[in-house]
Amino acid sequence: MGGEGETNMGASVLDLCEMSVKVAERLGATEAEAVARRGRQISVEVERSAIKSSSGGDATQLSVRAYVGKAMGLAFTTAVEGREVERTVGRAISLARSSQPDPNFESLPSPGPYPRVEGLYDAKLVNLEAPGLIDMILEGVSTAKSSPRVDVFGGGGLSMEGEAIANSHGIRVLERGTGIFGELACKISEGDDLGVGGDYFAVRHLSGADFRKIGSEALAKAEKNLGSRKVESGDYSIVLDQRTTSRTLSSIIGFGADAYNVMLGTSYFKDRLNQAIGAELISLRDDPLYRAGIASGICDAEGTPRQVTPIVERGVLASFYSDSYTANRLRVKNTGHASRPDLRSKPSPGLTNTQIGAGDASTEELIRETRKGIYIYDSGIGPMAGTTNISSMIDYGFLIEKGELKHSVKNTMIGTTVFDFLKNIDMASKELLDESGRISPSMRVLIVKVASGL
Amino acid sequence: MAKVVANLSRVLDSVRLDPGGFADLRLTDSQSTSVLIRNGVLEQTGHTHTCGVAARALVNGAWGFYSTSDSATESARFALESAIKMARAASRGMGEKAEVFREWSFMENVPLRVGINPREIPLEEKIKVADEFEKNIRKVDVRIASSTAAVGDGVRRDTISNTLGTIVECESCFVRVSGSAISKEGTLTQQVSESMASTDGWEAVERFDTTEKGVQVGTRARDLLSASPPPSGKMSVVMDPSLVGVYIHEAFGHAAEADAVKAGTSVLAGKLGQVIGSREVSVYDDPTIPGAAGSFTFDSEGTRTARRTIVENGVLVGYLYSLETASWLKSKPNGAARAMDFSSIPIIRMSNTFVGAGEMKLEELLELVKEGVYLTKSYGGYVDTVRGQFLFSAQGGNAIRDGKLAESIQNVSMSGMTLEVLEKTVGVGEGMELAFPGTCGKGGQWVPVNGGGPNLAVRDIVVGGRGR
Repeated sequence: MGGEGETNMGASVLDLCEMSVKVAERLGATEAEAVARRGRQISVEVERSAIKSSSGGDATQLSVRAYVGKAMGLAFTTAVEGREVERTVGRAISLARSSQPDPNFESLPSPGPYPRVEGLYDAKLVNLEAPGLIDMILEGVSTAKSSPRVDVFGGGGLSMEGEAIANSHGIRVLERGTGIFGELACKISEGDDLGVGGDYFAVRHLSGADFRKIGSEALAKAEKNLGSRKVESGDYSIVLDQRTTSRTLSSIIGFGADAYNVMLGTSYFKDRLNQAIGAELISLRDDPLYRAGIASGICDAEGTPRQVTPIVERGVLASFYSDSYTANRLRVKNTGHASRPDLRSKPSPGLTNTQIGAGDASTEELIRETRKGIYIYDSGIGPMAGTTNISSMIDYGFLIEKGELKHSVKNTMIGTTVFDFLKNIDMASKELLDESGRISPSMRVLIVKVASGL
Repeated sequence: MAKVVANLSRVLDSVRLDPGGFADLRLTDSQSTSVLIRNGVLEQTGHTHTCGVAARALVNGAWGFYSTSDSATESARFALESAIKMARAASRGMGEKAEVFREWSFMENVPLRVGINPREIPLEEKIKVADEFEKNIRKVDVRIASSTAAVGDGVRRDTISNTLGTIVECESCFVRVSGSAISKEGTLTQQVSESMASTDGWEAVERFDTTEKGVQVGTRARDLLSASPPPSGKMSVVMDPSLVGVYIHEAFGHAAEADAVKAGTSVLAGKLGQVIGSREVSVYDDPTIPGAAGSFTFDSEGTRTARRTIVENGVLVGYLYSLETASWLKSKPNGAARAMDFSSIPIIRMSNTFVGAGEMKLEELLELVKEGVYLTKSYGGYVDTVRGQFLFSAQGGNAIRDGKLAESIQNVSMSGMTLEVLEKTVGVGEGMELAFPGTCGKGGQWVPVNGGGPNLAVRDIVVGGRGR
């Protein structure tokens, strides 16, 4: 219940994990791991430029992985009172006993020296309640609501969480974190014309929460989005803003360099380690140690210490990213990338704060040197469901003609392949956007197929 | 259960609300199991138990919500008091006061009505189904780089009580079998998938032919390796029922959810009674279809569900409503407010969404469009309801030349504009099949849905390929 003091939120989940591992071993597990999360969150929804609702919640989650030999059972529960913990552990063991051995499994990880990562927890945020959050959000709404023709929607929220991991090999880790996010969008109606734009932030500290800024950005983007039109289908260059570059390269390289996909043989970079996978302009590393990074932490979802991992260096694939399962299977170093957004499933590799290297042009130059192109912002482009084809809608973009931004575009798609996309990147900006540890320049890609409704 | 209901009622009775106020409590307990086999290896067997209580309060026209994973009686009181506190906080910056529809309440107990409760099936049996399905996918060709099969099931119990007098206890069940194959040759990778989902019991899994379906999945993945790159441009598209399911869900269904209409974020706002498409097109959302993946008896507000007609012969005739939006639009609730779990607030969602049957055979639809693409099997999609711009994806298909199916093509996505697509629907096929049993995401919540229809021919769809 929310009545428990947040300061001891972590300690009790660590006790819960240690107890669960001990129970599992007593019941016959040859190896066991327990992960527990206890958190509290508040969120506020904005509709038609006013507060619509305010929500809160608290929950405890426990997930137990028990191995009997190489056979695994996983049990998850939100009920941790009384004998429920023992029941959950018992279910995990019972599943393992009814299961079959996984020949790819070797062992759960062992502890290592943990790095120090600053700035993941803000006591001021812990003390913020719904009225304070609402006041901040209303400042953003009032900035965005510049006239009666503007409608503002979106909201914001905050969370605080303690997460603990314990396993049979001595891992015993506790991490606490806080976060606050905001997202505001504006809709401007002018007759039949409609302009829509939005902005957002997600940070660890209250001091980084700026609702006025995202309200102002949302309004500016919505104004620019008015008058959107379809364009002629054909071959275009595309210029990706920093957010779109970050999402797109994280998605494309993220799938290909995922050790799990390599292990399965489905990665398009499977045999490309230390080989060129795209233009020299591409350098991407993953930095989970970044101060106050939104995805930073001292250990991954299995308790393996985090580390900075170069993944692509000057267009060459430098490393796959792995968890204990895939590292053991592939006989490579465990990079500490076990990820577990949902405790109902076992971990698999996942990226944290991806950081893409800068180029030497300005963003203005990327546009100015493009004769026929589309400037894409606040969008994401990625391969279709693990294939090598890219077929994506441009959520937000502008037509570029002879180096100038013209009108906003709609009902427009791009089609290419992951290989052509990476090969055809020819410019990157020197300006970098740092969003709580996710860092990216803008980039230009020469020649992709564009289809539109004109 | 009588004790639980009495406890919830006692907690609700203990709060004092202003006139126009409203509160509800929802206790949810669900248990599920899952089995995942990949490339012949049993990767995961899992059991999930989630339980907790959620409270909503409408105070001075503003909403508050609170949930907790502790489901003791005192937690229900704590959740309700917290929800009232949240609502009071929200009222400081609110606009128009919200109200709820007050003319109905329900008192009903709906026990689980299935032939075979999946919780009674031993894990070994579930593993066997997944194993057979996966083996049949993998054996088709050595170029199947990865084959996956999963079997999942769950039983959920909701107890919902509100200050209007509703007391509903409802048990429901869900089973799903899914499989996928990734084929690889040189640098080309293709992926296909197939799934069956049902609110029937384990008998639905027993009806699933793992051999036939497995071979189909493997064959489709293999054949895509020799398919042509998908085309690019604006063209006519004939869709199979699976693709029609996701198309109508994304292109139209989300915009017909009344919360988007009320928020001013739907292009269908203010268009009730207007002609928005071809007279041949009717669109329905029906949670009452027995056994369908998106079916349910009561929604998460405790309203009995009903079949909804959204478009009738090209005219927009209805939306999907909650208690609040029905009141705002002077209509009646139709049981569309769903919550993913105890920690989620009920929001308006689709169920089984489909296009009504027409009379044309597939050959006639192909002949009608002459040139274009025939696309099959959905991957999913998304929509921006504010601007009415949507995307949906196909796993593969064929070119259409001179009214006939021609060469196979690889996976591709398409986009369109909500207010343009229904009027560009030029042919509606015969029959109706619910063929897209998927999960729909909105506001961070994922709920099971289904979609389908007959084959459909639509002009001027933007196809985002890289060929031609």
